[in-house]
Amino acid sequence: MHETTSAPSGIHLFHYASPPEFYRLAGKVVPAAAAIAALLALAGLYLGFFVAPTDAQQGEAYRIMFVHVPAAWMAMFVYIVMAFWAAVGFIFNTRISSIMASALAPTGASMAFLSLWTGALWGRPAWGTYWDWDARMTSTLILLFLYMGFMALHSAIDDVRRADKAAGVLALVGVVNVPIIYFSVQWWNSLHQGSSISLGRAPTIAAPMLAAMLVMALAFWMYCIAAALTRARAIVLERERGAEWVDALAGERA
Amino acid sequence: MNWGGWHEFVNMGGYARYVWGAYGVVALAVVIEIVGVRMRLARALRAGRTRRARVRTRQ
Repeated sequence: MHETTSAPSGIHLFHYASPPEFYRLAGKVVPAAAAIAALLALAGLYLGFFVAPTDAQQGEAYRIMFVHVPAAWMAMFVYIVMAFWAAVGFIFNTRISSIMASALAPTGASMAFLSLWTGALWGRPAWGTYWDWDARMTSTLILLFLYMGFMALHSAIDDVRRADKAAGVLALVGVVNVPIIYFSVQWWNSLHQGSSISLGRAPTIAAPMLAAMLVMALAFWMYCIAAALTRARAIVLERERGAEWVDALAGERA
Repeated sequence: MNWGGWHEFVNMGGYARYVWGAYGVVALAVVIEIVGVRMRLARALRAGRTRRARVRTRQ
């Protein structure tokens, strides 16, 4: 009896695990996420450059924070989401879950690279060096390598479902690196400063700076959703090649 | 308002190459990714279209 009563919600959820339904739903989410990302980015850049005041110690160089922190947060967050979908794909054997993991990897890699790049350009004026083998920077570099390893491993295996499984294991093992990055500034004596904001503690930066950083973080988040879902739609079509619904879709657009 | 004029804004208090070097590469990465995923999606749709045309001519 319990099965029959719980069935509708289960069906509803797995409904979107069907490739054509996922493709359609993602197609609706992408323009909305992209539009919100663009608006938030404009608002965040305005706040970051025209409202937030010059920093007393770092002058204008600190404005790198408004792209550095969002990129660093997204690099970690996207990894967790990627590993989550890899795990779901592993446990339930749902193809869309593994496709989501594959679609998130390049976006996460881009975020990890940008956090390192902007961090280097901020580190030079702030600390006098572009790079240091400090715990946070090293673990973020490892994060970038994990993303690249995921993509390389996936593309090295011809059978796509086996590639999903193998790369999924790598993604799951690599999750351990995320808390290491996050807590690195507390666990080790580090060149990198501690976090300016954290749960349960008042932020240590001025309100307009915080606002600019949070708005930019939301913009990056929406951007990652739009980029990863567009890639996921492409991967769905590539993998479902030859399926009736894919060819019918092409007919609609022609 | 932080800037006395366009030149001051571009100059970023002497940190122009760091600030614009950071924002520029972020913008570049975003543009490259957007163009890349859109081209990939368009290519996948096009592949379906040619297959459909091929099936049609065979019938």
